[in-house]
Parts: sequence; structure tokens; C-alpha cells
Amino acid sequence: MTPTDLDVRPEEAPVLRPLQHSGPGFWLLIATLLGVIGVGVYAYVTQLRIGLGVTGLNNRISWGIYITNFVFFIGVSHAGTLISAILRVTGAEWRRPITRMAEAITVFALLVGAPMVLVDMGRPERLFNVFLFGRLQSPILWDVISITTYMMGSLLYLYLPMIPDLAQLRDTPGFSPWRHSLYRQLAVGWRGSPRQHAFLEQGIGAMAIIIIPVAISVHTVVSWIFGMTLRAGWHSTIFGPYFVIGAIFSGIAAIITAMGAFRRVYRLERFLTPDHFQKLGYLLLTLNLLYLYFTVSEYLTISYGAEIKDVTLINALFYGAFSRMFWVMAIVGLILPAILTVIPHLPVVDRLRRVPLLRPVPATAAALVMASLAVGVHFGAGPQVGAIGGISYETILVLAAVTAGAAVLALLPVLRQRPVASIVIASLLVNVGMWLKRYIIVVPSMALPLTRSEWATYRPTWVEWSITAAAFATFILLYTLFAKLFPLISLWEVREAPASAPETAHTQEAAA
Amino acid sequence: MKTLPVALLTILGFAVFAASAEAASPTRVTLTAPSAVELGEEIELEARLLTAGGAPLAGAVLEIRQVGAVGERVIGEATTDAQGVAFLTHREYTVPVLTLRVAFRGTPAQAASHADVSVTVAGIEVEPSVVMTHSPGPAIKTTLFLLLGSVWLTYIYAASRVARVALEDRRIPEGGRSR
Repeated sequence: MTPTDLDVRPEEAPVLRPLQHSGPGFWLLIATLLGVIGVGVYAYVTQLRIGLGVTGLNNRISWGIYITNFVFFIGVSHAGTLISAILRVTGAEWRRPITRMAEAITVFALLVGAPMVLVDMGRPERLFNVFLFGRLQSPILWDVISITTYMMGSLLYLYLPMIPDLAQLRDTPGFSPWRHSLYRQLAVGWRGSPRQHAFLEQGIGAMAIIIIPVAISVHTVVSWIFGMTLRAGWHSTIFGPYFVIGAIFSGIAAIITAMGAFRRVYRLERFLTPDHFQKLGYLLLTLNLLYLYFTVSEYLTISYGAEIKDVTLINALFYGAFSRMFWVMAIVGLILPAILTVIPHLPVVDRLRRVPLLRPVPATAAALVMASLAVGVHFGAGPQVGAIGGISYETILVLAAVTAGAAVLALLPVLRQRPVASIVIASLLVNVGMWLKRYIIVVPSMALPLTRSEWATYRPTWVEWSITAAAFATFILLYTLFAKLFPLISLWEVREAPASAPETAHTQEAAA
Repeated sequence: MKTLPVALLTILGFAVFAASAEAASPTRVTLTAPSAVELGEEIELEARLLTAGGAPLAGAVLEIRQVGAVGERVIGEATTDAQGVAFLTHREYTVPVLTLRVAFRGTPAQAASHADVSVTVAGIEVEPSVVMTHSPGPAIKTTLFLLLGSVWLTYIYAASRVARVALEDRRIPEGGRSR
């Protein structure tokens, strides 16, 4: 235990280097993100000035991609708090280098996700009506209370384990005066004495325990906004656990994505070893299977009941207007990530190299050409009239799907040799899939005709897409700035790890 | 010409059936029953089976049936005595307003008949009390606030640990304090 040792060790230099140096890539990224955010701000001002009429939202579908983003980000927020807290409480030693990255994801996802409801409301000042005229029986009020509580808890839970590292930064020369002052204020006089250490552990321990039920309750309450409504596809008793599992699933995917990005950019290979990715990959696979189980259970139950409204919804999802999105979600967001997570353990994958048609480069090139052709026809001539050289749009789609499948098969042996890349790609796909899943939870149920009327239609406009892009850009910007101001790896916790842990990690890395 | 005897026999059969049906004399059932009982208390029905002329029918089997919205079910039976009287009993625990029917199935000589009676059973809750209220009661509100309060108290405790860390720095001699 060396929390009293506030000197930087040589092996910790890669963690602190990004805090002291910023290359042109960093400034280019910041400029790009600010540009995207600027467009989003313009779109939001347009929406405020003219009204929600500039969006695709209407009286039937009042929750579109704004609420999709809200549910998605609240889900991602489960990354840190829940996973970090569970690993901390259960004493999983391998957690040490990843906890801070996870906890930061929670805070920034909440900061970006929660305001999405305000954006959807159109008139943000009406938020005060929730407090002025709120009714305790309203799930909307439950949501406000639980997210506020979660936000405060997550901030505390991020801050507490940062104190020793902040003290180390305070005592490290070379920072500008304002940063030195910031570190000094936030370090609250940490000297690493045994008594200070005991106080800190008490605080972290209490927060790690309380934040787990709080995190579970938040996503349960989010699910109840849907589940308490008597509407096909929403009114379900399993929505609470279904949403919690989905949130942990997308949260783990978000951590792996962030780890993959920062490991590569900041050269953190010594801290974020293949072993960490493998363990998180196992968690991702477990949650993937659990989510599949809940999905099958949900759809099987309502299909078996065969009420008209449920069957109408199921048909729309499986075969109708939302089927493309549904199957993309199922294949890209669930099945493909599951395969990518297990291929390091499947030697049979190597046999695919022997198939002449499955050479990675030509197969990928063919898939890209066919996908470009399909997209070009769809947005060019349109799917109903699109035909190139007498080949119909449907045929092009089928060929694109076949070549995409071949490309995936061709890449599997390559990814098997690169387990970290494989798991990071799986996590990216899960992120995409879970966003689509939230969309097909929110929109189809609202589009469903409740009386003998038409399906409602919804097509997001540039305003919604711009604000959505700005939300994601804000999340990345906040995270990038955080990584510039504070160490992404909890140095003092890594130092405190039992002596065997780093050796094991190092050995495994060498073996990999 | 084999069809002629068959036709004659058929006509004869119908004639016998019609004669026998015409021969079944009408009957009636009269009932004496309490209009209200307590939950689980024995409901005793005194049923009397009479001919159209008022003569008692002895030795006939009477059934007691519970009548519901979708049909009826037999819940007991008794045989009439020399005065045409039978006593039937039942105890009710679930249905607050019970419709009971005493029925005579009839014989070739006597036509079927029945009589109904409605009995109110006290102590069984009726639907208004099981309808959910749309506002949480004080007990639920108190529980929710206690749960939420315990979470925020934990936050305050964790924040107090930070304060203790800061205070601890002041206890350390000047030379060893943070810069």
C-alpha cells in the first residue's frame, strides 16, 4: 500500500503524458467535435424559435430519436457505476485500471442523456412544471427524482477515488497555475496518511454499496415510463429487468469501446492488457445471452397471446415497416458480437482461411461495393424504381447481404489472431445495436394504430439528426477533456494491487 | 312394398311419443329461503313440489343449483317426503349475491319445473373496495421517502468522509502539510 507515495513512477508516465502534452490530433478532434456541436446548437435554436414542427415528431409519435437517445445514454451510464461498484464490492482485482474510465462514462452519459428529455419537450422551461405540479403517481416524476439521485451519486463515486491521484497531480511540477490550483482544491489536502486513507476507504465503500441499487432503480424507473403505459409492446412486467440487463450490456460495450480507443491513442497497453478485454468480453457475452433470453421471452409471450394489437406490432417488427431495423439490431447488435466474443476460443475458425472465396481483401471489397450500390440505389433512384442493368433493388440487397456475410466470415480468422480488436469491434456493434433497439422500443409502439386508423408515420428531420450528432459529440468531448485533465487510470489503486496481479497481467500480455 | 310397414311403424311411434308427452302433467316448485345470511352460514331452503292441482309429489328428487352469468351447476340434491317437501342446504364463502335454483328434472308422467331465490351473503367484499386508488397512500409515501432519504444520507456520509480527509490535513504539522 503506497498511497502516501506521491511521486510519479517511471512506468506511470504513459498515464500522465496526455495531461502534459497535446498533439495536433487532439486539437483536430476538439475542433471537429465543436463543429458538430455548433451545428447541433443551431438546430436546437431553430427548434426553439420555430417549434417542434421542424422535427418529425407529431401528435401520434411524440417520442422519437430524442427519447431513443435518452434511454440509450441512461443505459450507457450503467457502465461505470454498476460495473465498477460490483467489481469493487466483490474484490475483483483486475478492475483497478478500468474503474475510473467506467465511472467517467457514467457521469458524462448522464450529463448528455438526461437533457434529451428537455429537448423532446420543446419548451424547456416547462421542466419546472414537474416540480410545481408534479404528482407522485407519475413515472415522469419518479424519473426526475431517480436520475437526479443517480447523477449526484455518480459524481461522488467518480470523485472519491480520484482524490489521491489529484494530490499526486498537485505535487507534480510542470502544470499551468490554474491547473495546479484546480488539483490543489480538489485534492482537499490529501497527504496519504493512514487516517486519511481510512476515511477515503469508508466513503468509497459506502458509495460502492449504495450506488448499485440506485443504478438498478434508475433504469427500472426508465423502463416503467413505458411499462406503466397500456400500449402494445410497452405494457410488460419484465420491462424492469429487461431494461436493467440491456443497460448493463450497453454499459459494458461502452467501457470496452473507450478502453480500446484510449489504449491505442494514449499507449496504455501496460495497464489495459488483453486480459482485461478478455474478462470484459466474457461479461459482454453473458449479458448478450441474457438480453437474447429476455428478448425471446418478451416477444414469445405477446405473440402467444395473439391479441390483435400485439400481433400487429410483432408483424411490423418481424416482417413489416420496422423489420429491417429489427433484424439489423438482432444480427449486428446481438448475434455478430456474440460470435466475435467467442472466436478467440474457436480454432475451427482458422479453417475458413482454406476457402478460396473467403480471402479477406477481395471479400471485404466485394461487400463494400455491393453495400455502396444498395445505398446508392436506395437514396438515388429509390427502392421502388431502382434497377441497375436490369438487376432489381431486391436482388442488389440480397447480393449485398451475401457478400457482407462472406466478408464477415473472411475476417473471422484475422480477428481470431487479434482478440482485443475482436472484442472492441463487438462492443462497437453492440452500441449500434442497442441504439437501434431503443428506437424500435420507442417508435413502433407509438406508430401502432390504437383505433381503426392508419399507422402513424415518423421520419426524423435534419434538426433531430443534428442534435443527436451533437449529443454524441458532446459526450466524446467531455470524455476527451476529462482525459486531458485527469489520469484515466486510477494510479493509486493500481499501486495497491496485490503484487501478483501486475505480473499475471504482464505475463498474459506477453503470452498474447 | 316393404316401405309401407316401416312408414306405418314410424307414424305409430310418433303417435305414442306424442301421447306420452301430452300425458306429462305440469308441476311447480315453491321455495322458502332466507334473503340474507352471514358468510359461511348454512342456507336452508325448504322446497315443495306440487302438481298443477296442488297435490304434493312424494319421492321426487330435487336439485339445488348455483346460477351464474355463464350457466348453472348442481351443488346438492334431496328427495321430497310425503308432503312433497325437501330441505336443501348450502354454505357460501365467495359470491356476495347468490342466486340459487331448486329444480325438478321431471319424469315421463310429471313435467320439469324450477324456482329461483336470491340470497345476500354478508361479509364478502364487492368490487369497489378492490379497485386501485390512483394516488399512493401515506404508508407508500413514507416508505418511498425513507428509501430515498437513506440513499441521500449515505451520500452525505460519503461527503463527510471527504471533509474528514480535509480536516485531517490541518492536524498534520505545518511542514508536512499539503502545498
